[in-house]
Amino acid sequence: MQNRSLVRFKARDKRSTVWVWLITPSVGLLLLFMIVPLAGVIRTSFYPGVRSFGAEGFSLEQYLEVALDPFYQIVLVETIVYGLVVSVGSLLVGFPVGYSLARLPANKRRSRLILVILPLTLSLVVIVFGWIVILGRSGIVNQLLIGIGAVDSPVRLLYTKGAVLLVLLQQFLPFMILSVMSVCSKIDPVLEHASANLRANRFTTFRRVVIPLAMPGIMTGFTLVFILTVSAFITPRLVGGGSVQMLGSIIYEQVVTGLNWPLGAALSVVMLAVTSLVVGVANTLAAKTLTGHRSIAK
Amino acid sequence: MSVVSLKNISKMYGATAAVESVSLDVEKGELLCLLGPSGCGKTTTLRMVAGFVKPTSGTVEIEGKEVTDLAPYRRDTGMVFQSYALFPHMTVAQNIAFGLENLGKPPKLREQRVQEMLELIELAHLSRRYPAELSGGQQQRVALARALAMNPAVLLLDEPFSNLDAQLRVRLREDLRSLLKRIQITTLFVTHDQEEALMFADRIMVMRNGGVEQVGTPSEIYETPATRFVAEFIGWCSIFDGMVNGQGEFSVGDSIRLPVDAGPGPATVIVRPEHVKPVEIPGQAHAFEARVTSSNYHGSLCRLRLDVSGQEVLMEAHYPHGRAPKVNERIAISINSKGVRRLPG
Amino acid sequence: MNSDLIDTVLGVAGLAVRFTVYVMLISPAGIVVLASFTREDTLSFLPSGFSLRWYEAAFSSSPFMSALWTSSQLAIVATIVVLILGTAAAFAIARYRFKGSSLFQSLVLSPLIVPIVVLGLGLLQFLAWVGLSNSFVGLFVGHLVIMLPYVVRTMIGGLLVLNRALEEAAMNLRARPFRVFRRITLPLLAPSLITAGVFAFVTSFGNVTLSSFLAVTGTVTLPVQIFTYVEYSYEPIVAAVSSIVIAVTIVVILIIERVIGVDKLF
Repeated sequence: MQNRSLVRFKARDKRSTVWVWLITPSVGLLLLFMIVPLAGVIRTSFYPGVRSFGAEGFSLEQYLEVALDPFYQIVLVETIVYGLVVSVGSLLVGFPVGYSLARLPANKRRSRLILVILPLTLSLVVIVFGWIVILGRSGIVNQLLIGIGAVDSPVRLLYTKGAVLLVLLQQFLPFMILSVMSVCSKIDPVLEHASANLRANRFTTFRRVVIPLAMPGIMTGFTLVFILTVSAFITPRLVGGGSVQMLGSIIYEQVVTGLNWPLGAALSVVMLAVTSLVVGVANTLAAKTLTGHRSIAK
Repeated sequence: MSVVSLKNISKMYGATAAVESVSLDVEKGELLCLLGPSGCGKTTTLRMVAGFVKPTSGTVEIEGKEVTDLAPYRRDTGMVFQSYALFPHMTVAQNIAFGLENLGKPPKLREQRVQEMLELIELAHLSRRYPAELSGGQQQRVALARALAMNPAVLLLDEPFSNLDAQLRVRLREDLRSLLKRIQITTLFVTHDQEEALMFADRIMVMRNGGVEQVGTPSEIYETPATRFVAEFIGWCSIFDGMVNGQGEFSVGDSIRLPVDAGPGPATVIVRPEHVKPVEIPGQAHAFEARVTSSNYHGSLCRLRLDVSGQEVLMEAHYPHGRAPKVNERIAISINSKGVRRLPG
Repeated sequence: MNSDLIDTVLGVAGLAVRFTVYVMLISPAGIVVLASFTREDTLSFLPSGFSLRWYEAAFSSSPFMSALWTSSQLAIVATIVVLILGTAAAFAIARYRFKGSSLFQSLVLSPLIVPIVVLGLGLLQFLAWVGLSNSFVGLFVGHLVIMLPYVVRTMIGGLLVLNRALEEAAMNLRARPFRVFRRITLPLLAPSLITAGVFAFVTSFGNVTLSSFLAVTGTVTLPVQIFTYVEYSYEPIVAAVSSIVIAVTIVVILIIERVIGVDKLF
């Protein structure tokens, strides 16, 4: 009897540590191949010189270069502006879509959702290529413009800021739509009926009921789209050509073609700082609205 | 020898006790009901018997063997879950056979036993259906058959009627009780519905805040409640806090005087509403004048709340042809002295 | 203020926005597929005539075909590994209470908010430091990192919906833990596993942002190959190859749709 209960005691102890075995592989993977590499980027950003291999020492040289060169200043400001424009734009056009998807009956929603999921799962480079075909000199838009006689010769659509913004917006829109949809489907439609019953029109209901309750989803979508835009480099390179410089494409050039890792690392740290700031602000805002709701509930 | 024996079991979650030193013996073939409001610890007690919850202290015995630390799959219990927990990816027959497979029974025997069970619950024609294709009542019977197929020492039922609508519930309760009695299985049954417990159980254990209030037969629980909580939780009753004088007369307020079998001193007595009757003339023995404070029609009878010089008295009476008294009407009532019970303590 | 007018304007505007968005979302892929059937040597609209010559060219192009092979291998192996890792992590989060559980959850979801260019540089450098700079392994671990959040999220969702009473019922019916897992938990989690798997697969198969950083190590995936091509030329062969990628992606979405329905994804 004594013996048996001892064995059982051991078995019970083992059960309580199962979670260690479950999380170890993931923790190991992320520690080794995400945390350590990111720490490595921060370390490299403090190397002097332009050598990617065998650099030594500690200096603020890279940061000084980034801070003092007006080129980087312009790129940084432009990138942040692009990020804001694309995320605000995706919110404006994505919210109605996400909201309407949340309110559609399941059978109608499924076919439309496929249209949203396709660009999300499709390789980015294929989407960008599609836009090049659409916007190119002999692309469908130019053909159309010439066909209706609006212009005589092809207009330059590719390699413009507008084109880059349009393509970025389309790529990342699904993230916003899905965030909004997921949060709106949790808002009880009865609340909107109650608002209408209290004589609020659709706009008032939207502003006073739907948007405050959808705030967490809006923040998630906004953060994701901002981060994706700020770190984009495929689209600026292919659609922007030489006329649009973004932080992501400059890092890519420094790392892959320029082989100047210390400078690339310093620019990366700047990017991490910007995105962390946005994540932090968004989280605080979302938390604030949430506590606001709770105090109302009380 | 009792089939299930709980000795002083407690379950602590941090500093709060979900169950506190509960002891209980369930006899062979007995239908024992754990009754109490939600959060009283009845389900935790049942889950400790099944092995899903390990007691913090105390022991659980099934058929004389200590099983306190034994895993659920090593215990001889069959459980019907509140949600039935039928495996959605298995047919009715496969659900019933699952336990027999785990016991390593040969296929021939398994088939035979599944057939027996299907006949017992009268669902042989639905053996190839999936749970989602069954009605709530049918699902409950399949869950029962699945638990009984292994011929367990004790059957555990966790609120098995709570997912059914009211009319079906009453009929299935009667059917289930006669089935369990026919096969003479020892059953531990959890419910929060006192009416269900009174009609279903051989014995009832009333629980509150993790502790035991009273254990007894349904009539003991109803007629001689051990505590004020039991008196209030089971059925309807008037409760009076008053004094007993040297002549064995209990008095409360200005006018209520009732004979009780107790020595002098403060006392609490209860009167079940069926012992209160309307009378024609006041002034009769144990008759009082009362004012109606609420009147609710319940079909065969009428439930009234009355005010007898500041004390609330509850009454159930039959008033044919809609002649029930209205609120604020004054009526005369009498209290049957046989229905007056003093609460111990 | 006229409420009816506001409502009408809002209604019409909403309809217009939704229509434009759906057209915009689908047009790049649609145009690529249309363009891939051209008979001519350059991409132009509308393509005159129909031919499969660019598909023939694509299937006989060794850079594209070897990249396709690399991408498929990578995606399949990484999907299998990430399913095991992610399901284990989801189990820990959904089923166990432990100190640091929410920290762990933030960690496994964090690859979603790390800018890929930064992760790309970090991994490239780290792999060079440890001497893995010229192999498939770099791409493999990089893809695992970015696939993990999707798998964990899907599996947590699946586990939370799974009624624990079913596992308890199986245990009550004398099934030992491993048998409960194999006969009850796994079959009931199958839809989530398939969804997580196909989602992980396309994440890896289509990835270009991280892969293009790690491609300098010599292993080139199909999206990276397309990227290098598009930087220098817009030959119709790229449209044909892209259409193959589109076809794979559509098949995958249809699998999700058949297994659990796309509306259960989010």
